[in-house]
Order: sequence, then structure tokens, then C-alpha cells
Amino acid sequence: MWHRRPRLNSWRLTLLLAASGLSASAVAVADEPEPSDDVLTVYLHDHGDAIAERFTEDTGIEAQIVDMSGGEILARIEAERANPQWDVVYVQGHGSVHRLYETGQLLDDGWQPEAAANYTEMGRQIYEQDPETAWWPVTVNAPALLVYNPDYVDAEDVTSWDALHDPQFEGRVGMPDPAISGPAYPYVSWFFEDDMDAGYAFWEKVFDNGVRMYRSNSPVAEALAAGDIWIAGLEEPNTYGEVEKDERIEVVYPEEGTPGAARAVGISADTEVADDAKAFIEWMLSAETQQYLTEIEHRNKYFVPLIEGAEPNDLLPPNQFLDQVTPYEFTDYEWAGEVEAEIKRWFSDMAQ
Amino acid sequence: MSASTDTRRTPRLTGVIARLPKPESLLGWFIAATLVVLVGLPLAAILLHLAYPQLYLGIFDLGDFDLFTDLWERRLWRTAVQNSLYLSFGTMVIGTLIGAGMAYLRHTYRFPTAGLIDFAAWFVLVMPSFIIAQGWVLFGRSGGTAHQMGMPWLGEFIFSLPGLVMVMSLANFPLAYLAFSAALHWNVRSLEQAARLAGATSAQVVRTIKLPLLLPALLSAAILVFVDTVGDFGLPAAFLSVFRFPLIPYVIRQEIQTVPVSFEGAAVLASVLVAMVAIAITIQIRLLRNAGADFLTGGARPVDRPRPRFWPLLTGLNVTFLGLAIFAPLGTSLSVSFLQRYSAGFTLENLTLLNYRAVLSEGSVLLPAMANSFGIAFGAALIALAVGFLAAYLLAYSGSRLRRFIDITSTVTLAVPGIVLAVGYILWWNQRWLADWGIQVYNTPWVIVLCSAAASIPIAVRVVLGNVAQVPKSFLNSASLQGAGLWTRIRTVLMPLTLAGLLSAGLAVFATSVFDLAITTMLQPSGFPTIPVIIDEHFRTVQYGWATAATVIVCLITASIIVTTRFLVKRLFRQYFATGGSQ
Amino acid sequence: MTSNTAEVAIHDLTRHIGAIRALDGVSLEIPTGETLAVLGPSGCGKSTLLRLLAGLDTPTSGEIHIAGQKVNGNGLEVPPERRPVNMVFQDFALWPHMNVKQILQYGMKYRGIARGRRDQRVTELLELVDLGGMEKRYPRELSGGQQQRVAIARALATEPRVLLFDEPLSNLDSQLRQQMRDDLARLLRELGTTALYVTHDLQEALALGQRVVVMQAGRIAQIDETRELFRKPATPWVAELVGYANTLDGRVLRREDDWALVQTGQHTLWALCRDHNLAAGDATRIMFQPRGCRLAQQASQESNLNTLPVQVEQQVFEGHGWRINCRHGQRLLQVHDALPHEPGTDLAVAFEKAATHAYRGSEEAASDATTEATARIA
Repeated sequence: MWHRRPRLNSWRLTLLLAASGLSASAVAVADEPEPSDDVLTVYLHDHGDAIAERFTEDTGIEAQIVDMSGGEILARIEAERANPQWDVVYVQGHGSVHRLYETGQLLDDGWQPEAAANYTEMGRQIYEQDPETAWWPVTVNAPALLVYNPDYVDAEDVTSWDALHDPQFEGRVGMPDPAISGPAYPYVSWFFEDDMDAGYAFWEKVFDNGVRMYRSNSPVAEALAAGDIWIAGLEEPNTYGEVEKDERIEVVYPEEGTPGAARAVGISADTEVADDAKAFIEWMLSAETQQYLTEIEHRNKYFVPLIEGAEPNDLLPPNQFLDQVTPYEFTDYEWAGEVEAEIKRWFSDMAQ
Repeated sequence: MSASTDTRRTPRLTGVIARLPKPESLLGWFIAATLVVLVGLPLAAILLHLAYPQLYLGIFDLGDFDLFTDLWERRLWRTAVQNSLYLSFGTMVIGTLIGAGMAYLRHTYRFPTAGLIDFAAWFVLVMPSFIIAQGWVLFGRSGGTAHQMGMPWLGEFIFSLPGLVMVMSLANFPLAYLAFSAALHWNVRSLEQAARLAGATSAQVVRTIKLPLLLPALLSAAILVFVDTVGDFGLPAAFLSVFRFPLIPYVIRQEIQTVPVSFEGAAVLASVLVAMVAIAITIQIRLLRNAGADFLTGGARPVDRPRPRFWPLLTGLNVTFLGLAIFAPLGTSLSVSFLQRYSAGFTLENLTLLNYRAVLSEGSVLLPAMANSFGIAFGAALIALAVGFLAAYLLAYSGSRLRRFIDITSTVTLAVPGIVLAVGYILWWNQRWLADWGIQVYNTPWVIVLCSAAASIPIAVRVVLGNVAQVPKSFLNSASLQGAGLWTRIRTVLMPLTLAGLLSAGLAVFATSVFDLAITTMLQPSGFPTIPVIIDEHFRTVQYGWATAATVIVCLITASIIVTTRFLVKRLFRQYFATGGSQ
Repeated sequence: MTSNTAEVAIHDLTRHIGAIRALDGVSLEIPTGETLAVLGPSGCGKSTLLRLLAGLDTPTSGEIHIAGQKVNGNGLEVPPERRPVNMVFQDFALWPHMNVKQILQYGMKYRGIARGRRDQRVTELLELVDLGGMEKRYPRELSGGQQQRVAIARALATEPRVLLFDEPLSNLDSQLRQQMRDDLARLLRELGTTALYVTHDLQEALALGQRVVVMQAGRIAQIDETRELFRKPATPWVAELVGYANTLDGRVLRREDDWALVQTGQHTLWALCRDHNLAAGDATRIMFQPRGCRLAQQASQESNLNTLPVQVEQQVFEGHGWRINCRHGQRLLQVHDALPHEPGTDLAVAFEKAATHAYRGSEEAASDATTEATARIA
């Protein structure tokens, strides 16, 4: 869903002024640099309003939030490469964020947030692979858990990810579209990590099984609850949200593991408000903010803090099989960034 | 009493002013330059990116053109091209048959409900295609109207190639209907009567006189349908969430809006689309040139249409058809807007106004979206109107050398699908050097305003030109000799006399721009909600109640803006409208 | 170049439209206060001349001076709204969204006539054209003749130095046309404004113009006082235009000053000939008017008349008299007569020598005429 940035309020006024004059002035008016250039613009997915409000409250810095799905954020950043409009990106899939870093799109001036010293063990697991990189994990979760609707599926039939191409579920398998959904890419790419060909083979079988592709995770969850589909890979916060609502959803943590990915944050190399952007990152990585993020009321309020001093919320973990944080298996983020275009293109070509 | 002897003022013929370029030729240059900026440069940018794929980054390296091979090697592209061709050809045939058939019945026979066809044709024509397509999706989905009416097969049929052809045909039949009606309207009875007197039977008259005379109109109506179908963005957008059927316009969007982003890929597909349209238009021009249809315009007389004995059959056919074309999609949309849960169907306990409350409640994204979209449409209408009016002035009256350029540019744009124009706008306005110069149009609402205006200029020019052409040049010459300069002449003589046309053109551009999904979806700046995009988003995320309620509200508001504006303008300038018909 | 008394002076004015020479090196002057009628068929360049004067069109070359000011040439092009002229249009061009008062005041506003004077001036103008009290009418509420007069009043409203008329009567029916012609002629004499009146109607040109310019194919064929034009058409083409419907071909036998003795067939005729290069033996074309002819039983002996034997071929009743089509050899001659004559009757036609004009003719036609004569002798 879109939210309006305050900077665009002025344009309608300009329009009316231009309208009363000559049409020719349209281009001229548009040529003026927008006053918004020095307002921090953050591209992110989910609870943007809550973040912006609290951030401004805490720091006095005005922030404009552009809330799009993860895939859309990455595509828009690509599309704006000639002339980036964003200052900070905060998106699921640290492999994709690392790709931005590798291609020189992130600000890399040697700065590291002080809060990086306070990463939890899980945070350090990602951060310390290369503490020099100019992006930072904020939280982690599973981009997909293996879930099913117990009204249609027996528990013993779903023990591994292979259930996605089990012929008995033909036409009743769902997944989010990696082109649009942020978590979908870390999810699907996880299957390619050891062996690209194995990944293609696996997903080809899933496609042959008549997988239904949805725009994002929410419609997957709704379709699963409604019985339109019976089995799916569903993002972790979504899953727990549905479970909490008592929808008919069961979770499986299969033996081969559950993919894990970080939501990561980085600064645009073209930013003109680097200080504000750094303040934002420092703020995001503060224990208070992390605590706040575990508490905000939201559809998907499941939030795993990565900074010492913040307590996980009580949604974690709700499943009878687990009494601990999900055993995430993180992909190699450098690899994930490199093959992103290839895998996403393959999916968009398959998904017809 | 002498008119000439008192106070003869010698006008000051200040040489400087007299030596400046004529205002008319300045106007010509201004309009030509505006068209270059609005249409020429964006389309040129597409062509340039075919050769220099990274031009937008400022990298002037010749590409290797291997993207063109993707047209047949890459499955998605190949399928999209094939699908677009199948759908467009299918729709061309079926839509033309429906449109021309309805026109023939309407103009040959008299039967109750016949007049409704005209209404339906215009109604469907002005309805944005994505809204019609959304209606069809809701109609056909499991649990939709088709199922509830006990026709699940009809629902399932819709999500297939023949089904899409039917949907497209029902959405695009008005083009064929109106074009063919015009031809039938001018059909000269005396030509047939002469043939009868020369000894031809009624059947022979149809074969040897009627058909040859109507064939060019039929074929050009068909091509109109083809062009409109191949560039349509609304149908693939609406059907995507339910039935994946890749079509070129939607793949273009995908190339630009999903990773891996490929502007050059979009440019290739856009040029393929333009090539298809160009071929079709070329054929049409050929057909019209050889048709010699000019002489058909004379001697037409209202024809006395008989009421045949089988009129109940015609009425039944007509009602079924109209039910399918209008009620099935739009009636479904309307009903869904009152449903609590779409899948629960149309039952009493499932009826609710909650969707409307949600759409109109505080914090609803519809409200800022409406402000934005109406603002965009207003700006686009003003620009298109100003450019269209001045271009029409030049086309009608001026001997400017740029006349031909203006004519061609404004006509060519008519055939360029909105999605292609939008790609051109991205490729042109998103260039690094423009940003370095501080020219920021891309990623601001202005880019939508300008693109919507550019897409609407051809229509504005044609509508206004129709009115301007009725004002004799002597009206302006006489004003000129009364001492009125160019702007005064235009303001005091031409504008009042063409006000009705300006009003129609402006409102038409306004209405289309409010709902232009292709352009807004491609050019929408980040964090700037617009009506078509949020409706499309809600629809694709299966929030049908919200999407349909928003559609109903926006349609009602747009309609009332149009009606109110018409009323106010006619009231304020009553004398201009009263005199419209004289002279 | 510009004489002091000329309100309009045109020098070597040319207008090419593509390959067409709409106007081809036209020079003329209109003295202050004169009404000059421009006569010619459509496409002769008369409208182009008018439009160039008004500034509605740009000449290819040449110069125009109006009221002593140069208005074009060398990159200078004074736009219509800055020229001291005004025009009455063929279709009247009355703006349908304005009433008569607004129409008349329109130009006053832009030509800078003081606000305080405008109302009074509207009243004066309307009385001048006999439309007192019609201020509030819209064009559609006026008859054709009334619209015409509003158009004239509007042209006068800006107090132009030169008035231009573009066939202003051609949109009226024939009865009204004659009345308007007379009214307009009276009005122009009264006002004494310099005027250029373009028409394809001979009667209008004669009634309104003090002088007439006859134009043909972008050039001036003749420019003369109205009566002179009639008496001495400069070319066969002008002669035909002013009603010299009868032509005969022949050869000059002898020249005596302005006179030529012409042999046509077996007959000889005296004709006026201003072309002094036309010498004995040259081919010539004789022209005379049907109205100047008389039919008689026998050849006239009066010395100021030419006579030819004719046979009546057809009699056509034309209300006020008869048109008799007669045959003279291979030629058909038209004669106006008060009485009918039975077809087949042999008569003689007589016409004034001073109303007979000889022009240079084509060799071929002259030879044919001679052969014919020879044949008849044989």
C-alpha cells in the first residue's frame, strides 16, 4: 500500500498556479528542484508509519516513508539508478541489499553505526562476515515456513519441502511472486544455493504441480485459510499472525531446514542527507527501537531483535515443535546477490 | 455624420514591431516545440535505447541488439508476442463482427430497445478498460456472478483465450459499431435504387453495391479494434491475479517494475508494439485511400426502417447482448461493492456498506489518491486543451510551414498506446544528464501530467478541430482588420465560438486521465497514490469489496464533476452556446 | 514612387503560391477619395490583391504603401491590425456571439477610439446604414441585407484610411443586390473614403467604381475610367468581359490613324484600333456589342455604320426584348432587338463603326475566314 509523502503536498498548488497561467509553464515549474531534496526518504516495506512517527519523535528528523513491497522497492531502486530518489532502503533479503552495495549503489564512506557493537549473537552471525560492508541487518526471520491447511492435508503428508511438488496437492500449492514480494526471493533462492541445477529442477517440479503464484504473502495466507490452496511456503511473521487469529494453518519445520534472511538497511550513495540517514540507522539499531518494533500493533508484528537489550515478543515461537528461535539457515548473501537477476528472471518467465 | 473625416489617426507603424516574426509563426514554432517535447523526444528515446541500451545512465555505447532475439528465444516474451497477436486478431474478427452486426441491425430494422445500443456503445467506450476487465474477473471467478446464475461454465470459459477474446470483443465492439454506423449512415439509397432500376435483384444489390461500398469501412473498423486491443493495458492488469496470460503491454510493465529491471527490454517490446500498430494503421490508410469513400458523404437521407416480423427475436438478441456487454462486468462490480465477502455471494446477510465506509474513512488511501488523480487529470486536461486548441487553430487557419509537422505528430500519437508513451517518458525523463542539470520531471507528478496530456492531445486536437473548422476564417480576418492582434482574435472570437468543443475535449481528457492505468502505473512517483493504481492494487490483492467500492465512488465523483462543469460553463457563457448554431 | 495624392500605391506586387502566379507584377495607385473597382473572373488575382493590401497575405515581392506609409518589403510586414484599412467580407463575417453594438465597438476598442465616443459613434453608424435602434440584435436576428449593412458599418467604425470590399454583394439575392449596390454607391460618394472594391460583376464595378481595374491571370489587363473601359476595351479579353459578345476574324486592309479597314470574308468593316503596330495585311479580330446592333431589311447606307448580311437562326424572348441569333457565314452573331424575327429570314445587321474594335488576331483564324470567303465565291 502507498503512503503519501508530505513533500508532494505542494505540487497541487503549483499545478493550480501553473494552470491559471500558461501550459508552457508546466515544464518550467517542474524543472525547479523540489524542496524535498533534503528530507530523508526511506524505501521500506511494512509498518512505515509507525517507524516514521517514532523516529521523528525521537530524533526531530523529518522522514518520508515510501512503503512498497520488497520486490517493488528493489525494482524501483534499479529504475532510479540514473537519478536515485531514496536515501535509505530497508528491505527483506540481505542478499539483495548486498548486491546494491556491490554495485556501488550504497554509501560506503567507512562509517559504521555505534550500535553495531551491540549485535546479538544472531546479528553478529551475519554482520561479522564482513564488518566493513555498508549495510546492516535489523532483524531476521524466515522468508518462508512450510505451512498447510489441516482441513485438507494430513500432517504426515507434509514433512519436507518436497511436499510442494507432491502430486496429491496438484493445483493446491501457493507461493508469493519473487518479482514482487520481498521475502519470496530469499525463499526461492535458498533452494539454489548448493546446486543451481537442483534449484531449477526443484522449482520446475513445483511449477509442474500447478503452483499458484500470488502477489505477496498476505493473499497466500488468505488463500490458505480459505482452502483455495492447501500448502505453501509462507513468510514467518504472516504465518504467526494467521496462527494467532486461529486460522486453519499448521507449520512444519522440515529436517532440511528453514531458510532465514535478514531485513537489512543501507544508505544511498547519492544521498544528500547522509547524516540524517546515519541517524536513522543508528536509531533502527538502538535497543529502544528494536524493543519498540517488537511491540507495535501490526498485522505481522513478529519481530526478532538483533540488538542486545531488546526482548523478543511473546509471539515467538508459537509452534509446538519449537521452544526457541527458528533454526534459520542463512544463504551466502554474496552469492544470493549475484544470482538474483538470473533467478528472478527465470521465475518471471516460468510464471505464465 | 461623416465616418472618415473626423480625427483620422495615423497608426504608428513602428518598424521594429512590424519586423518581428509574425505571432502566428511564433505560435507555430511554440506548438511544434511543445509537441517535440511531449511526444517526439520520448518516442525518440525509445528508438535510441534500442541502439544504446544504457543511454539513460549516460553511457553512449552501441548495444549488440541481442535483446531482439529474446523475442523468440525467451519464453515469456515469445508467449507475450504470440498471445498479443492471438488476442488482437481474435478480437479484431469477433469484435468487428459484433460491432458491425449490431450496427447493421440497428440501421436496417426498427425494434424496441434498439436505441439502447447507441447508449451502450458510448458507455462501454468511455469506461476504462481495466474497470470493465475487473468486472469480468469478478463475474467469472469461482463464487462470482456466473456461478451464482448457474452458469459456472461461462465463468470458466472467460479464463481462456476464447474467453478473453470475448471479453475484449465486448469491451472494444463500440469502435467497430460507431465506425460502421457512420458508414451506414452515409449509405446512399439512390445508389441502390439505381441498381434496382438497372435490373439487379435485392440480393445482387447487396453483393454488388452495398458490400463493396461498405467493405472499406468494415475493414478499417476492424483495424481500429485491432489497434485498440493490442495496446490495451487494462485487461492484462485485471486478469493477471487470476489467469496468467502474458501480453506485451503487461510484460513491458514487468520489465520496468520488477528485478531485473530492463529499460532496454521495455524499449524492445514497446517498439514491437508500435510496429504492430504501425502496420495496422498503414493498411488502414491504404484501404481508405483506395476506398473513394468521399462521395458517400453526399445525398444521405434518413432511411425509413421497417419493423420486421421477427422483431421479438432482435429485441431478445439485443437485450442478451447488452446484458453481457454492460451488466455482466459492471453490474457484477457494482454488486460486489456491497458484499461483505466476495466468495459468499449475493445474499441478503452478505450485503453491507462496510466497503464504502472503509474506502471513505479517514486515513483511507483513496482520499489522497483522488486529490492526486483529479489534480493530474486537471493539469493534463489544461495542457492538452491548450496545445490541442492552438494546434487546431494552426491546422485550420495557418499557412505555417510547421502545419504538416503538427498534423503528423498529433495524428501519430493517436496510434501510440499509452504504455509505449509511458516507456518513452521513463527513458527520456529518467536520464542522468537531465538530473545533473537539475531537471527533475521523472518521479514527480509532472511526468504523469505531461504524459497524460501528450496521450490526450490527438483527441483534443480532433475534437477541437471539428469545432474550429466550422468558424470561417473571415471571422478572424475581420477581427484582425478591426485592430485585434492574434491573441485578442483567439480570445474574443475563436474561443467563444468553439467553447462547446473545448469543453467537451477538456472533459473527455479529464475523464480519461483520471482512470489511465497504463500511464500512472508506469510513471507514478514513489509515495504518490493515484486512483487507477490503488484500485488495481486492491484488486490484485483480492480486496474486491474495497476496489469496487472505490471504483463506484470515483466514477460517481468524476461524472458529477463533468456534469457540474458542463452546467456551470453553459450557464456562465450562455450567449456563446445560444449562438453556436448560427452562421 | 509614391505620389502625394495617392492613398494607396502598389509597386510591382507579386504573389506566388507554389507554381501559381496569383499576382504577377501589379502596380497601381488609388488617389485619395477614389473608389477603385477591381473586376475579373475567379482566379484572376483580384482577391489576392485585396488580401495583400489588408495584410492577410504576404507578397512574394513588391511594395505597398498605404496612407504614405510603407507596409511591407525588406522583412517588414505590418500585420492587418496595424494597417489603416478595414474590410467588408463576402460572407459578412459577423461574429455570432456578439450583438450589433458589440460588433461595432469591437474595432473601436482595439483601434483606440476613445471610450466616451463609442456609444455615440455606434448610433451614428447605424443611422448611416439605416439600422437605427438595432444595437441589441444578434446577427442571426437580422436579414441578409441588414447583416450586410452591419458589416459595412463595422468596417467604417475604425475610421480606416482605405476601405476594402470583397465581393460584399455576392451573398445577396439579385433584387436585394441591386438595391444594396445603389445604396453602397451613394454611401461611398458621401463618405469620400478611398476604397477598393473587388467584384466579378460588371454592373457592380461600373456602378461603384470611379475607375475600374480589369484583372486577368494575375496581371492588370486594363485600368481606366468606367466609361472609357466600356468605350475602349484594351484587349479582346476585356472587350468580351464588358459585353462585346460578337467577334469576327479578318485582315487589315488599310490603316488611317486610329482606324482600320478590315476585310472579313467578302465584306469590309471600319473599326477603331488603338494598336498602332497592327498594319495592313495583319490578322485581326473585330468585336462589337449585341446591344449596339440594329437589324434591317437592307444594308444601311449611313456612313457611320458597318453593315453585314445575316440570316436569322433563332429568336429568344428575354422579357424586355428579343435576342436574335443570326448567322453570318460560319459565325453566329447576337443582336438585341425590340421585335422578333422569324428564323430563316435574310436581314442586314448594322452597328456603329465607333463601337467596333479591332485587335490583333490569330493568323489561323484570319486564314480560315479568308478560305471560307474564297469557298463561298467558288
